[in-house]
Amino acid sequence: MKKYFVLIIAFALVLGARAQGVYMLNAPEVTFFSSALLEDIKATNKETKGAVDFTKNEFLFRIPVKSFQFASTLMQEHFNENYLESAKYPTATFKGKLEGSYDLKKDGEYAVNAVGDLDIHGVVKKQSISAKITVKNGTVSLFSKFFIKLVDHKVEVPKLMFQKIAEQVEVTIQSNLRAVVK
Amino acid sequence: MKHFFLVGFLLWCASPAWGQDLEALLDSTSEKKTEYTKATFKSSRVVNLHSVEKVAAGALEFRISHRFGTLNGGAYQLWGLDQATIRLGLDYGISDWLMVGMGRSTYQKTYDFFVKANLLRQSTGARSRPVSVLYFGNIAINTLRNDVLGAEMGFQNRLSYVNQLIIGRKFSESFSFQLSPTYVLRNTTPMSNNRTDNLLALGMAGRLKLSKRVALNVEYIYRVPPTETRALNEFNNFYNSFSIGFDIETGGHVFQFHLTNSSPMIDKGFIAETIGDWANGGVHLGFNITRNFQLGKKKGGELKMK
Repeated sequence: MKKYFVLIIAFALVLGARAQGVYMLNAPEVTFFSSALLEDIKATNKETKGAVDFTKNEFLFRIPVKSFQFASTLMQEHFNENYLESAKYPTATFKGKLEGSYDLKKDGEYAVNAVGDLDIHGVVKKQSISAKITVKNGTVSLFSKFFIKLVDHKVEVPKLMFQKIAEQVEVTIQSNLRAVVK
Repeated sequence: MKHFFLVGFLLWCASPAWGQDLEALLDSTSEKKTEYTKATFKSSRVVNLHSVEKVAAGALEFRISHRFGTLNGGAYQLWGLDQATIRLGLDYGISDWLMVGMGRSTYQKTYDFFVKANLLRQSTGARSRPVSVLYFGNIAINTLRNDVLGAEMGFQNRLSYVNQLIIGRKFSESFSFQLSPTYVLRNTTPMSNNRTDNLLALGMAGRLKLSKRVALNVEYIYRVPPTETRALNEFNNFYNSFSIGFDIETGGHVFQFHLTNSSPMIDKGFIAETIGDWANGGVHLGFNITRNFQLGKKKGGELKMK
């Protein structure tokens, strides 16, 4: 009997360690903000798909470029046709590893680093982005704000437009996470 | 022995090899969406013909269309540059599938009003459709004074109507093509004041995108010859419209430069009343310039002018 007892405890411990598991983004909102001399432009994307594996500390986000909504239809068309060329590169991807300590079972704010490959417009750049994981009343959410240089991803801005489009855009991602039930 | 297998099983459960593959997870949970094809042509006109594109919802487009005189005018007329005829137009996008517009042309001092609506939009994904189909309807009013016309022309006689179906497809990022079966009804024609003219025509237009912001357009309108003698005689005094042009796009403007044998820029004019002959140098250099303004509020995103 004692043998089985030990075995059951061991099993429970093993399962407990795996309880952190895989979470998917739930209602994520990705926005980018460009502030230039003549114009401030903000676009919102609510169709991002993503998952974080807290056991392996890995993450994968896929952002469909055509789903960025702008204040002007013409601006949205130019964004897709001329700048991001979304017909050739329909998805922006960020995947890599999470660094930092956190405890999903305890309420609090945890600072982590997302280190990996950011692929925009077909150009991949290594990024280390700081993010915040918040656990509150059992709900897990993440938040991050960082800058992307357009030239890093070969997004061309014609000289005529430099007063309307900034060289650096500020990207914000805010999302709740829900555990994947297997 | 039993315990060995049990422990082995538990250890296997704990192994990372049993962990999720994130790529596979995202692949399995993506739903199919319908994506409507965008930017089949760079503008709502190919050269003269209306394209399958409309003005964006909530946007107002100011359009200046300009045609010089014919190249065969020679040095004296500076190969047509001395002469000019224009159309000023204002188009408005009411929704994703409806636009309206109006314009005023030098040609017969015509006012024209039109509506263009999607019956079908080309799309891929969950709901896939191979072509965009639009209805285009236009009324034009000749407002030349009676003393200029040399005859009393009642209001009814000054009217002409164009009904057109536009069927187009974006074949690839660089090639699009459309067909425009058209019915033109004119209450008077340039050669006869008291004969209503019915004309069937088929417009065809294609574009080749040469770079991100430059495209080549070619357009031809075939008129179906009438059977009645008087109508046929008049028909033969005019030519089928053929045009070649370039679109250059920058920010909120599209510049269209072209060579065309049609001087009028309203549909009943360039379809039925083209007097230029390509073989004879009866070709006009022309350009269209458009400027877009976003009027209506769009959901999502913000724009702040400083």
